[in-house]
Amino acid sequence: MVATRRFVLNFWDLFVIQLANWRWSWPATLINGLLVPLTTFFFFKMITSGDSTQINLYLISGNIIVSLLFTTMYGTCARFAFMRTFGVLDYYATLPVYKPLLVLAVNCGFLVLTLPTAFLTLLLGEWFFSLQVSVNPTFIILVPLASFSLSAVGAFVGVVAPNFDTATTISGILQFVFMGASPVLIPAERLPEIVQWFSYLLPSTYAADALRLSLTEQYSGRFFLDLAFLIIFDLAAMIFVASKMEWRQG
Amino acid sequence: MSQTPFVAPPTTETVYGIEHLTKRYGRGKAAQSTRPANQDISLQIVPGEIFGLLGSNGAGKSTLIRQMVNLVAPSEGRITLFGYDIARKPDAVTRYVAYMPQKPTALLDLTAEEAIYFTGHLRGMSRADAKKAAAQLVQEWGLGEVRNKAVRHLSGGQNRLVGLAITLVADRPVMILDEPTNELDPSFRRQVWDSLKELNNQRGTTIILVTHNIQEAEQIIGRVAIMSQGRVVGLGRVGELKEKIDRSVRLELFLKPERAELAEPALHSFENARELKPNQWIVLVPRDNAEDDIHRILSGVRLENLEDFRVHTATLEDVYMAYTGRAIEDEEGV
Repeated sequence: MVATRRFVLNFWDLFVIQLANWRWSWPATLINGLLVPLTTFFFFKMITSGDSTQINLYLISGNIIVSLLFTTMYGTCARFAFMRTFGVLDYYATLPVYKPLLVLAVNCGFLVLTLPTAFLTLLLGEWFFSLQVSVNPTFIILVPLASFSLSAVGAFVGVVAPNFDTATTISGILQFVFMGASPVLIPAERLPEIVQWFSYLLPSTYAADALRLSLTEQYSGRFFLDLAFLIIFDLAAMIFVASKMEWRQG
Repeated sequence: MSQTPFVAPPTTETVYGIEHLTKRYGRGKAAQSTRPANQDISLQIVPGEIFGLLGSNGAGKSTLIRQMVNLVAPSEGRITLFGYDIARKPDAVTRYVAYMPQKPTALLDLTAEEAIYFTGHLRGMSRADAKKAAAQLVQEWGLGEVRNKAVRHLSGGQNRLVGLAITLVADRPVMILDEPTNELDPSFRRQVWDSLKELNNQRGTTIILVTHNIQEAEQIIGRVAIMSQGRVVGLGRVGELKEKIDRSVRLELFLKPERAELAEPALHSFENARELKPNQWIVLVPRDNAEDDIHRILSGVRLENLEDFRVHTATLEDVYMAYTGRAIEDEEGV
């Protein structure tokens, strides 16, 4: 009981510290996260006249993932790389802080920071394409799961890359790999076969698919498979990142 | 500081036991071919003492204290804290030690009061106590006016004071402070030394200090380890170490910049003369023959070439110079 209470207090402090860190930077994150989705909406509407519901749905759900890629994945990567490179982890390492809780707190902090971006992308997409989508409880669950899956990848790069610049460069490349090599903005069947196979390795594939199915309330077996993949991936990735994050210089 | 000690440590004869500690950075052949950051260091720190670590840039002090707080793994040797091997029981460090790094980089986006509060709460204080302690420390360290400003926007000195308050919150039985008075003005430096002395007297807190400000630190340090090139070259009570070199009297000479060239050749001819800073020299003169020697030196350099001169007995700085052969530099440690 005492240990659980300590865990909860520990997590809450670490989480609030993350939020406090970002109270000065959230407007920039919001703009950064909305920039690509808005540009994509605008250009696709210009090119396609925005008259295909199927494509518009892809654009809306896909751009929610894109906004998460540009905020949570890049952000967590930069955050962990910064903490490692500039000695911030030293502070936590000399306090009675649980490593996995710090990883979770940073990811949750980014989730809170990017929720407005995800919802604004959805609302703007609906408005742009005059499309009515269903915001239901599964969507509310899926956004955090999708966010965690991408932030965990960012966190992993942040804790293993040799330095800050390398970490952010890798993360920048991964954003485009995740965006282009998985059916986020483009339907899977239009991707080259080899890329289709490769996309099964990327969490963005499952996140984007589950979001699409949720927005159209198609709760098929595939939806639950996506959901199960995301839950397992998120848990495994968080534990893996915590185990790879070194408090101590060898 | 009105908080009660948060975690009482086990009663042991030593706080820190350091045995044959060596650190080589890098891996494989690279690690073997480079000079170790520290080498075969053995020392013990006893409860309730104020222990000073002195050394110039590259002496290995920062590596040693980072090993003591478990941020750097030793290549050889081991460290015990209250009898616990910290490599096997790392939570001994988080439970008993408060560490103030040379350059704090965490919590920069929090306000000063928040940074102190969260550290106290993470160290296990109740919410109310942590809030009270944060408010009190902010007042004590003159941070009232900037309490709601993000730490990153504070001046270097204010930032240092926040770091100090963060270290003091929740009363750990051991404190390790890396250059606590850097960037502070004289009145705050005085307050830091007084506060550490009071903490040590009243609560028996064991304090381990790394500082370049040895003239000021000398007033509170009990024992000292002098480090040079990764090794401990001198270890003992300040008085003991002074006694070893106390056969010397210190003659400090301040040269007129425009006439320094005329005085320096004479100074170079004295065996124990060293240049501390441009135009500032020190000569250690044997006590037995001090009168004649001082006369000889002053005649050699000539009074008209001097702005000022002083004669006094050995200080900790002289001890440092006697052991390492050079003056302590005001630079970042390794």
